[in-house]
Amino acid sequence: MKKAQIISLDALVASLILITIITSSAMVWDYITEKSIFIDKSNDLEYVTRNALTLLLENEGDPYNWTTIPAGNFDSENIYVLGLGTLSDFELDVEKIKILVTLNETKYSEYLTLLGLRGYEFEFLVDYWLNNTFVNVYTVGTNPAVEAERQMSLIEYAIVNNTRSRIGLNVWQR
Amino acid sequence: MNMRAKSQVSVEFIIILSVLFIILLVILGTVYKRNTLLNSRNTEMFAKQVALQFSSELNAVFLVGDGFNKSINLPPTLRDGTGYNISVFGTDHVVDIVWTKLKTRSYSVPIIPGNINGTTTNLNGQINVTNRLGVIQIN
Repeated sequence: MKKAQIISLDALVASLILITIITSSAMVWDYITEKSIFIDKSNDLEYVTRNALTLLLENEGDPYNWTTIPAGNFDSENIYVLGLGTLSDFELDVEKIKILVTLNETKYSEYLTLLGLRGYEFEFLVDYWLNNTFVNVYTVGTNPAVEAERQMSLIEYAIVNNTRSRIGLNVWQR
Repeated sequence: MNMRAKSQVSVEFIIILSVLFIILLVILGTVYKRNTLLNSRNTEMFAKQVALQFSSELNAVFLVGDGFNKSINLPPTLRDGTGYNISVFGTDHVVDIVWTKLKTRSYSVPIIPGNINGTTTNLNGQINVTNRLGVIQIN
């Protein structure tokens, strides 16, 4: 009895090659998809970080004298924009920074809303240029968690309290 | 003997053909699923594009200052023809875009201004945005 040609070694090898090609294609597809999602989320994180930093640095806030608002009314109904700027370019109002530091414990979640950072966490740093090095003077927010899934850090420079300063904003997602 | 050999070939042929057919179905199913996923990612990209563009325009109107006015044209649909709703939530500092393709999805983009008046939900077509003493008026 002759065996049929169809179950020959050729057919077996051809099937194996086909399965290998299909499996490899699926793996490459998955890798590309994951990579594109990762890049996409990193871009999102960079956008929200840049938006928050612009919000903080490039205007005086709305109302401009939001530091006079009592702590009990410190929310997005009474403060529209949490700007730290002054009428002078590149200069930040140190009193506004001090208020943020003081209310950090109780109003952190309000900060997140006011900065458009819902779903994220942040740390805002003001470092003075002293003795040829940057020294951290003010910190608002919380330290980036070790288990943070992704993190974005942006740095700008400004004048705070007549001192050259480095302004850092770290935003991350748990 | 000849008859037996022929019938064996036929049975083996049918079995192998069935297995190949099943493999083909699995491959087609996987390709269809992935294609659907890819299409939905494309729609998400188009939605993000509209939301980011709109949020940038709102930020620009706020940052330029009092009296600045800008006309923004929101497309009637996303680039792939999917309908969408875009809304601005000033107190939350976000622009939300919602679209439905197989299922309803949304995406939020942060914005700088928090004091926004006028039409803020279901925005579409030609929109006029004005900065009046820091208050963003949308018409």
